[in-house]
Amino acid sequence: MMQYTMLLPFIAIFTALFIIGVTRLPLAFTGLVMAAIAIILGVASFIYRPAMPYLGLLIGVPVGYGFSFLMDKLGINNPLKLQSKQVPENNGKRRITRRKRRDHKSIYVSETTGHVTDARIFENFDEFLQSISMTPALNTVLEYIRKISIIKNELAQQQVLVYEVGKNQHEFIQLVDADSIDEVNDVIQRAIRDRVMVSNKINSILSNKETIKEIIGGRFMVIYIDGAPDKIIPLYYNQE
Amino acid sequence: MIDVQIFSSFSDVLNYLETKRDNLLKALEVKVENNDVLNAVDGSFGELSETYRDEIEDIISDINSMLKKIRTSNDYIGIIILVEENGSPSRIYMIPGDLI
Repeated sequence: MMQYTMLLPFIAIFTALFIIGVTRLPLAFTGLVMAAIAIILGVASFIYRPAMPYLGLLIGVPVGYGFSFLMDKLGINNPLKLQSKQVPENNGKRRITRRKRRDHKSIYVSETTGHVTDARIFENFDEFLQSISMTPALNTVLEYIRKISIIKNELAQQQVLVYEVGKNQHEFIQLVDADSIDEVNDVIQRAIRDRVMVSNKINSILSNKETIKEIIGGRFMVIYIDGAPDKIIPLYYNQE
Repeated sequence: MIDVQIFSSFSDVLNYLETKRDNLLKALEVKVENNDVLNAVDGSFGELSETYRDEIEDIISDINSMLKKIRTSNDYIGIIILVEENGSPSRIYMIPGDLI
């Protein structure tokens, strides 16, 4: 019995080191493992007395956490931590890129890379053709610009109200300064530029419509990238 | 990518956003196998970016937050310009006046 009690501090130290590596795992997972160890050791020590000193593992848990916490506080790089860090990375990656994308979102920055902007399901090809031939996509860009220029002229004298997502304002804000009028102008100019690209793409879809119609058949989903139909996914009954 | 939608009342804006959200929710229910994807331009086989579901979810959450804000003040009549950045409604400009 004596030699087992002497082993106890060593076991505690080893456990502490083990815990340093484990701390970067998701907390719930670590907790689960610890609970399992505690239960197994508890039961084992009743059945098999010499197993009792291994209960020292339990002492190691808080010590290890404390040690790891101190290392973090002192800014010491924990070599064991880096290895286990990879586990939650895949899960977190999505969030990180998503947030990044949101942070970069700004109407003042021109983005050229493709983004999914819409997705729709169509019952048949004619319905789809109708939707892309309809206003304002194909109803000629010129018509659109004409409307916009009317608004621009209005803007020259009128006040503009701005309302924006992502800010804490819950009221419409009245802006009468020249900056806000310039902003609306800029946004509309950019939208016009982007629309030209969209209508170019729609034109080439229309010129290939017979071929595409044959391939697709009935129901299908359209993924829009940068405002223009980009991908078509034919739908079968088992897909919904 | 900036897009602009023009409306004359907030109920039109609500309709537009709700329809768009419903379409997107339906699209999320579809399981896409990569060998099913065609390029819209010419009907050739294509690939869909892996993040498309994330992007759709982003748009839906932006639509929802915009809808929440609009519902509190939808009695405005005038020219309403809804600005969409990469498909997400980002801001609304309200201009007194009439297009017609």
